[in-house]
Amino acid sequence: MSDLASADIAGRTAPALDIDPYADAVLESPFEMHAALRAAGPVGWLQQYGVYAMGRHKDIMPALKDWETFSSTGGSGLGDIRKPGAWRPGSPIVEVDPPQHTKVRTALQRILSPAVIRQWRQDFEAEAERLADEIVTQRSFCGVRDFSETFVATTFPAALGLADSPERRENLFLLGALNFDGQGPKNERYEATQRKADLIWDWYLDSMKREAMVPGGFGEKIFQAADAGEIEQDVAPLLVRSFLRGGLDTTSSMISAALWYLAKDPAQWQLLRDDPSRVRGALEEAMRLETPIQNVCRQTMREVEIDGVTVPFDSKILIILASANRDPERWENPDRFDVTRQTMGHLALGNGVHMCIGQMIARLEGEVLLKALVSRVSALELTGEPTRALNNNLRSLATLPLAVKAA
Amino acid sequence: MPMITFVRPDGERIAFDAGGAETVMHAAVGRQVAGILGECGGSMTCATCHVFVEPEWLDRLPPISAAEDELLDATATERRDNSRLSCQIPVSEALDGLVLELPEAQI
Repeated sequence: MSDLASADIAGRTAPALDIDPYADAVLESPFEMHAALRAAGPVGWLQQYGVYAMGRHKDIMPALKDWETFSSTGGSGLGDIRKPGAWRPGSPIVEVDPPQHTKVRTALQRILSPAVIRQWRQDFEAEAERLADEIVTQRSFCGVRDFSETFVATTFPAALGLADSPERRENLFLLGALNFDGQGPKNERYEATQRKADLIWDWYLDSMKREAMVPGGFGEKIFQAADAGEIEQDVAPLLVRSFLRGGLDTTSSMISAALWYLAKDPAQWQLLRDDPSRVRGALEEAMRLETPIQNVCRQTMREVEIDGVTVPFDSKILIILASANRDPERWENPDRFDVTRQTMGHLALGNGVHMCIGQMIARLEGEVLLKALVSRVSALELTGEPTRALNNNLRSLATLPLAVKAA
Repeated sequence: MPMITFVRPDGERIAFDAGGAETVMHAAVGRQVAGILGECGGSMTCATCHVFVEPEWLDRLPPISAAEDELLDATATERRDNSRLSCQIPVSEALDGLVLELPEAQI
């Protein structure tokens, strides 16, 4: 009896779920898995991985805001970075909480302030127009390789101040794949990516050094912030590393996704033609529906009750942002792409103190590239089935066959 | 029923009941007031919910935090003495009658 009484006070136990978010078929199409997780209540227990999982918008939003309970210090992925044998040291921004986080975030926010990012607009626009002209001449192209990846691989490293080299583009995308595969389990997919990344490890380590930063980029400013004592000296290269790993494929995934949805629905393309300022809305909607970073992990800093279900102290919780972004309790017609939708509250960029610090760069890149296309192209057409690049945590297209009709 | 009025750069006024919203930014985005974007949802990363507060209201709003102060230096339309981020103004009954001017640009 006393057990029952204490169970009452402590709340229900999370139901065990036979769900594998990392199976190929689930990565191809995770939506049934999301629905099953949401139907199981606020929290489920993923037996296969020994972690909890959350999938409902109404539970996830407050959890992301409550860093004191749902801490990032256990690591952004399934592995516990506090334990020996972690594959990399923790990120000094993503995987720390206030007060340490506040200091680093403030310094970075200053370096990447909206005013600084606006200064890049002209350069980004020039590249977007060059690329859009090329695409319109070609007529048929791959929306991923020829367009969104080319654009992001040119503009972002230039803004960071990473010297160009023949291998830069491929290496950065490989590091991105490693970063996001590494947030999942140590499965065959991750091992294969790690083996490839081993071959460029020296390039990677050299690229985050101060000497590698081209003057004028924001990478150099990160080192200058360390000189000024705003952040610790040894933190600077680790911050550059975070941008090397996280700034490219997330943005190109968003842009490719937007192109895909727009190509599938000519009426939505026409809405952008009528009012190009709607491209920002198209990008938000693409982020909501595809959620490039599918999930983030948090560690409970105390026993916590989530809508009647108890999660013990020091538990890892997989927070499935992509599920919250299509939660029918939160979104009307959740699967529908609508550039005029009120998208505030989507969680593709996280929320709270850890919300994506590069979000205004991503929006700027997406805006100028889509606008360059919208002004030149009367019709965007899908000429074949797109294919996916499967990754443990990054949802993105590998190919997107498109054709355009010049306006 | 806290009635809030936004004044566009061309002088057009938009007044509505902001009751129930978390912040003035949320209220404006919910009403689709063109000129308030609130792209970061109130995480103080974007500076796209910038407003100019009618001077008599300035002292009646919560003080400007260090983070807001820094972001106000990075707005698309240059900061003035009466600049605020509307995501940092919680909605309450006390805001009834608040008048806010919209800047020329947010991005």
